[in-house]
Order: sequence, then C-alpha cells, then structure tokens
Amino acid sequence: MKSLLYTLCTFLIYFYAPANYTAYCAEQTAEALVKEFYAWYIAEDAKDEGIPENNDAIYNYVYICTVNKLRMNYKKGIISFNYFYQSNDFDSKEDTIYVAPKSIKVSDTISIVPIGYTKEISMVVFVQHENGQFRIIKVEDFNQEY
Amino acid sequence: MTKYSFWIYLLLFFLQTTICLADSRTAPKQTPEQFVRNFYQWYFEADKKSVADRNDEIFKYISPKTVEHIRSNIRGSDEYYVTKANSWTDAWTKVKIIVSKTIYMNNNVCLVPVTFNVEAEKYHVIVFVDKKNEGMRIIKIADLYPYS
Repeated sequence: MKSLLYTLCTFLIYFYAPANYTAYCAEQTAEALVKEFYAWYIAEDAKDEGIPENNDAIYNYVYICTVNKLRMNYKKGIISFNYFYQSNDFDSKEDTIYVAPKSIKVSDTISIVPIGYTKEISMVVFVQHENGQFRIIKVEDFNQEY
Repeated sequence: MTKYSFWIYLLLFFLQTTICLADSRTAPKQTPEQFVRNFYQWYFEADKKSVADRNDEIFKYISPKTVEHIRSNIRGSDEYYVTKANSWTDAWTKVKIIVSKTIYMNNNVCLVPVTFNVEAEKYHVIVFVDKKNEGMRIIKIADLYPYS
C-alpha cells in the first residue's frame, strides 16, 4: 500500500512540477508583459476617465522614465497622438492590439515585441529586462519615417 | 541514336549549369543584412573625407524623408543619427560593424540589429529597412534607450 502511495506521489510530481514550471516561466516574458499591458491599457482607456498614462498602475508595465517623459510631453502638447497606439484613430471600445507570440532579443537587456492592429505587424515595442523585471521602454512605428 | 544520347545528356547538363550560374550572377539577391552592412561601410568610409550625411550618395541607402530629417537636425542635436553616438572620436575610424540576423516584420519592413564595437565600447542600433519602393531603403534607425 505504501509503495503504491510513493509511486502515485512520484507520478504527481513528475506531471505537475514541469507544468507549473512552464506556466511560471511563461509569465516572465517580454511578450506576456506587452500582452498584459495592452489588455490593461485598452480597458482603462475605454473607461473615458482621462488618459491611462496618468494612472500610476502604468508603472507596473512601463519604465518609470518613459512614463514621466510621456506625461510631460502630453502636458506640453509635444505628442498629438496616442503614443501606445501610435495613432489617433484607435477606438478602445472596439479595436484591439495584436501581440506577436514571440519576442526577439536584441541585446543583453533589451527584447523587441512586434505588434499591430491586425496580424499585419506595424509597430515594435521595446522591452527592458533589468533586475528580474520586464518594463516597456518605448514603441516604434513603421509608418512614420525617421 | 543511343550512341550519342550520353553526349547529348552531358551537353544538356553543362548547358543547364551554365545558364543557372549566369542567371544567379546577373540577378544577385541582396539580403537586408548585406544592404545594411554596405551602408555602414560606405558611411564610415565617406565620413573620413567629409560629413557623410551631406553626401548625396546617402539617398542610395536612406529614404528621402529620413535624409531630410537627418540633415535638418545636423547641428541641432548632439547625437549622430546613424550611429546614435554622442561623440565622434578617432576610435570610430577603426569601428567593427557587427550585423545580426534580419527580423522580418511584414511584407515590406524588416529590422536589422547592428552593433558597433568601438574599442571597449558597444553601441547597439536597430535599422528599419523598407522594400516597398524599388530596392531597399532605411526608413528609421532606433537606439535601445527609453523614450525621450
């Protein structure tokens, strides 16, 4: 009886441990962060309570300097479009952002995540990995040159 | 007939290989990596003589809009657009250009990460290459620093 219990335990460990492990790892990726961020951002934007950049919860996803600079530039009127959509025509109540399933590492600390309004990729999100944390540092659009 | 068939086959074989070779030589397919490498090699070489940003050969590599932007900013910003470096020291004349694998984004645009080894320093940039118009053109060069 005891040996049966042991085998059962072994089986349980074998089957559950790797599953939990991969689930844990999947949360800690650049693409997962970008996906989470846009889900939060679009929902927040759809509430019509001012721009989500002013909500401090954005620090969970976006690098502190990037947020502060964006807030300042919005205040000064330097940016005339929504930075995270790179557009003014995005309807947060209807449209979504497609996030590519895999990020690409471009340096020791930086990965890029391709995104688009549909599966047609039109922007890249730069994600920094520092001190075990992933944070978005900027977005670059293909349609705007330079 | 069977007597000659071997020679005919052999002849056909040679004909085919020569045609194939000729074909691949007349239409060399340039990869975005090669394109970006050629650009930086040209740029650093041209810059030894005079400011490469002002050289009209730059239009072979960079889109007109982006060139306009680079030239209009030439004195205003303290950053070199194509290298994203703040200073130009003699060490840059011996720069080592490392071009990484192309990252394909959509039908038109791909990104090519480039690293410049200048003595012990490393500079990373991402070159945005567009092939929408005839041939490839660089539409943007981004650094890896936060939004500013």
